[in-house]
Amino acid sequence: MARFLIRRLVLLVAVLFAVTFLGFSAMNFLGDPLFNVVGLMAELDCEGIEAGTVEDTSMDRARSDCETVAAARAEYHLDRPVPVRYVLWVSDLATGDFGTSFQNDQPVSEIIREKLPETLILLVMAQIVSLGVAIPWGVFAAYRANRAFDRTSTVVSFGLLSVPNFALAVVLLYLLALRWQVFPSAYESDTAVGLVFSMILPAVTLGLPLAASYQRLLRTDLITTLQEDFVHMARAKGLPPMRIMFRHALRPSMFSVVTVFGVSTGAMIGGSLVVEQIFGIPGIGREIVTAVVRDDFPVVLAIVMLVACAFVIINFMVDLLYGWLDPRVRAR
Amino acid sequence: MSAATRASRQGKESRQRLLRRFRIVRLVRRGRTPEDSPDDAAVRRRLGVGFWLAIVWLVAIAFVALFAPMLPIADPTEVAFGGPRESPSLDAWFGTDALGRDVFSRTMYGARISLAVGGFAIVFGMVVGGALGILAGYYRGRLDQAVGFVFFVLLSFPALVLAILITATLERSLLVVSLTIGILAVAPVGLLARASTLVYAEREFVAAARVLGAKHGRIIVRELLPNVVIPMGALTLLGMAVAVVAEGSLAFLGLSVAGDDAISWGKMIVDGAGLRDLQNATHVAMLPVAVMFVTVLALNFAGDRIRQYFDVKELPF
Amino acid sequence: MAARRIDRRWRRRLAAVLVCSLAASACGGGGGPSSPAAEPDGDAAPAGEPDLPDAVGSDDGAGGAPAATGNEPDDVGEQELLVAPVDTTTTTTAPAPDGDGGGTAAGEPAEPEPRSGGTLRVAILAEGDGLNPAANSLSGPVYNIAYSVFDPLAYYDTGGNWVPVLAESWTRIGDGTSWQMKVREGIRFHDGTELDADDVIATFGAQLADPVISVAFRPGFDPDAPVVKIDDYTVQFKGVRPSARLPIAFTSQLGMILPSEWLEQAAADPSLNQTPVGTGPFMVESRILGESTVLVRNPDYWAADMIDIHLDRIEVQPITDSTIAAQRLIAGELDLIVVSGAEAILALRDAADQGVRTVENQRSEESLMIINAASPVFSDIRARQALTFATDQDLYADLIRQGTTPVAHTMFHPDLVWRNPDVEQETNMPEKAGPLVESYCADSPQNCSDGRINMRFGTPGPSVESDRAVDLLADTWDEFFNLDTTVEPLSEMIVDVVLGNYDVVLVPAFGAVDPDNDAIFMECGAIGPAISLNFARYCDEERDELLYEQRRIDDLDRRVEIWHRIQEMNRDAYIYIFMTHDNWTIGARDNVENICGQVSPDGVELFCNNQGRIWLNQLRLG
Repeated sequence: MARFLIRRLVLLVAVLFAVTFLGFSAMNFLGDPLFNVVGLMAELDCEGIEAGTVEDTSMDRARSDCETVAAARAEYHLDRPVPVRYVLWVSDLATGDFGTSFQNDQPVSEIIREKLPETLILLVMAQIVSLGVAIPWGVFAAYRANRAFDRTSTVVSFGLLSVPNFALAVVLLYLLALRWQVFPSAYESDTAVGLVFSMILPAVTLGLPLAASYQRLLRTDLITTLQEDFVHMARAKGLPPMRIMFRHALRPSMFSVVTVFGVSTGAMIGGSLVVEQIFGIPGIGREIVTAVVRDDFPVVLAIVMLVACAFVIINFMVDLLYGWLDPRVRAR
Repeated sequence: MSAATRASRQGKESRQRLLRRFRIVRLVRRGRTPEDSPDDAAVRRRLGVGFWLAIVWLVAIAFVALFAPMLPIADPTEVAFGGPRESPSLDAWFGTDALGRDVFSRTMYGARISLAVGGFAIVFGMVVGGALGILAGYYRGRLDQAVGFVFFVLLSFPALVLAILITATLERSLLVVSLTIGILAVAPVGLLARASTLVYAEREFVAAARVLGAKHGRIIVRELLPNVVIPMGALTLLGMAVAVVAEGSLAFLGLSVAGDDAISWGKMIVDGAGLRDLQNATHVAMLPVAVMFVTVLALNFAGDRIRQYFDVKELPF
Repeated sequence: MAARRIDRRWRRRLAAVLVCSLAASACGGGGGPSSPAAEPDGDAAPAGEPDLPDAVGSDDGAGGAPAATGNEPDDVGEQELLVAPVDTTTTTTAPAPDGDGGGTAAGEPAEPEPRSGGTLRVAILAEGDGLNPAANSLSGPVYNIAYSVFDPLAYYDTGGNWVPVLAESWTRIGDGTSWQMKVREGIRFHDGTELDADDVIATFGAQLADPVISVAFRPGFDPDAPVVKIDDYTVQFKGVRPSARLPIAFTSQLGMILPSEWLEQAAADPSLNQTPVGTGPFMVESRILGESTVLVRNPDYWAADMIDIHLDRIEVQPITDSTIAAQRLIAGELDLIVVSGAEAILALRDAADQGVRTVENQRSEESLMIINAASPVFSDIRARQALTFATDQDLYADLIRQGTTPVAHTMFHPDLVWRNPDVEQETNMPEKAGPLVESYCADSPQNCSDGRINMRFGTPGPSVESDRAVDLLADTWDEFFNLDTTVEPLSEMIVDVVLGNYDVVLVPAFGAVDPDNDAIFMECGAIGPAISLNFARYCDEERDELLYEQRRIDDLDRRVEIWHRIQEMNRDAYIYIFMTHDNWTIGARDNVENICGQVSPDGVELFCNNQGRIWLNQLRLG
């Protein structure tokens, strides 16, 4: 177990290194790094201003601005060699210093702290919705495998997996919020109940396609499990079929679902960008899209790094969990 | 060390299990679920009516996309072609949007970007990912570990987030958007190519070629490539489905191809998705949604059938 | 580090200031996109809106009218003509202010006992980086908070004339180059200290020293002694040219006074900028940037005897997307919003039967195309003319504004006395554009390709509305122009505009309560080598003379005549293509009363809904 752990940890560190390096590269090699950290001020001709060859309408301001640029150069170590810069940048990141937003001079870490809860609530609710839908659905599909219900549900899940997230959001918004007015059409935050209620529709949008894939996995595993001896045994004892399904067969069949949990979280994070947009949820997904539009690069980079690292770590933990669940995986 | 390498060193049973697990991971990543093997067997070698229906739809969409400017349909950018938000009629089959433009013609033109980006992305993924995968699978060792690691890292970003990181820093031209989505395709396709190569590299005809003194390059091009291309090709349509959805999502967020003549389904859907428009002129958003849904469904369905037809096995990653 | 953050990126902030002083909606997310849009042009940037003072004046002249001491406008008869402030479409405005406070205006109709208390929930379209009027540039939406925390030295009455608020009187000295201002005695700040002349001077000094806040008004004040203390409650402001209405500069954040000791503390600790100490009827209880600002009633409000304050609390949250704000108002989660986006306005109007009412004002802003007359392409008037002829503003009004607001032909709404009824813009005549483009391209082939003029076009966005506007204009111009379109947030676009690095932009602008405040955007002196407040970079000495003259005189007829002439000059120069008058709409729940009809301490009814800026002070919840 210890060896397994160490190997996974090494891989984790290596991947985190690579992920942050990619982000760092995006900042430094896609476009001008100075522009990416100070915005338009990067265009100032500071040498000219210092030498007095360039006249600005307000030399005082231009000079103070050049000081700012110089300070930013120092802060981001732009005059140091690339590897040094990377190390310094990552250590800033690790201590929670994500830089400052161009737009309102707010520390990026503060912005993330404000916006993250909404996104987390959404993701958790979406997982609840998907499991809540997928488990009964998968159980019934497996219980009557290859019968009418199962065949229909195959078609339905195939369809659900083919609807782009944003299209599903628009359809659900139209049907459930506008047509039948079951749910509110936009985010509410006045009360906790209102918040959760207004998040149902977005969570369903994210959760339904996931439920379809969970359902397929669960159904397959359940069909296998139902062949096992202990199920036959339970049947022979005359236990009611639903009791067998839920009490005996379900748990051993959740393996695949647990496995894809990490990956599905990644898919959901991508989906949440779109869903937060359309339902007006002030989470990090909406924040990153806003930031991209405004070329607010520190915010974009910080959120990408946060999400990617979270994703890597979630997968790492799922991996560990998996190894813990099934000793054969960690055997070598 | 890549997961598959590790798997190969394990006992048969756990390897099976692991393969299964990775297979599931991959399939879900691509938005699909594994089929039961009995089902697979049943449909194998039989494409079915549904497949041909899907192909007809896709061919029609591709035809329209290619020849849109020559077809007798309205100018998609013509403002006030009709009144704003007119319901579908004989003059405008899909009605008109908020600017009075013909939604049908826009939907047809919208297929161009979707298919262009989808097509380019999957070709890029196959060329780059395929090359890396074959090299890694053939040479093994350090190269394999390095490539496997790169793939692993690429898969560590949620797809849309990686796309945003790229489109945030570069001009959003057709090429950049296509490349971005192409990069997303590299890792999945590469892993497939690597896995196939691993299988074929062990086969007798490769060993024979090697014994006969063939150079590595010749073996790769003449012996391995033809065999690896088939499974990759079988997954083309599935890959395109993912790319079309990715482009749509970017367009929906306003991060796809920029410009007033860049008509895209995602953009059209956003345009009609304001609450008032959704309520009063539902067709503006819903008809592009429908066309896009059918297209993605057709790609997925036909792709899945092809996968089964060519008996492309689940992928070991 | 913190200090550096403050003055970091001044260029962007400077630009924001400029555009905000140009148009309230610029900072207010007035674009009003639909909900799934990427992001509205609502600008959370540290944008600012110092109202323009009389930056440039002219030689002395007619001025000499006796001191106007405020609550009595010079010419009562003109009041209704100057501006008709609000147009209430869905419902009528709230009734006149109630008159039970001691010393308020006399002769108000008896009102039922006013209901006191309650919390007002308000959304603003953009957050500000701080609330300190001496350190943060306040954007239009942030004024909706600031006017409750501070009382400005002066404000506008319903006729558009200035009246004293915090000031007791304003006295013109001589030709109007200098003005004496006496503040009321006994005014106390939230921290209990008393306001005196030193506080006024300290605040004004801090504002002058701030490079961003002062950018638009510093040139208008005497560089050596902009303000001097006369006695404990009196100061004298000195401009550079005579003005008949210097106090209008102090209707904005420039007129909001802070305690001098507090200013020193805030200079050392910028975090105090979030919870400034003012004189107003409400105090900042808490503020989370980007999330909420909570104001509570000031128990010791200095004007409590003169003005009735009913609310206990005001909760303000920023919502940048106006359709979402409208939706939440309709759902009953908000009590009041101010928007200008077509979708939001229509949604509010549709919700009349759901307990929502609107107070619309189509007179306080225009959406227009500004053409850079100094750009290589458009320095030739034929190109400007061709663009004007080729523009279909009816289509724009119908499809983009969806009929929420009428087409504009000039910078004034037809209801305003300033409007020259003879000025009609030569739009919608594409047949006249063809020959012009042909002759232009024959002379300047380097600016043309395929017989069409190559031009850069920009508009704030992206939003659904901006995307539509671009598509619409691109299609209507297609025959004569090749467009290179840029859609980017206003804060970025405006940098190019002030620096002259643009051809044509579609932005909201003009609409000051007194057109004097918009004069700077046309003055030759505002064209700099780099930064220009005269965005069109079009100089006309004769027009300058007229602008200076209207500033120093009181005679309304002559001023109207001048502004009529200026509109003709602008039309003939083809530097602006006016598209529509903007519609700033207050949406409120039915139980919110007294939105319009608030009064100054002297009982004068105040201007309501000025470019989306309103006072929340005297609102009531029924």
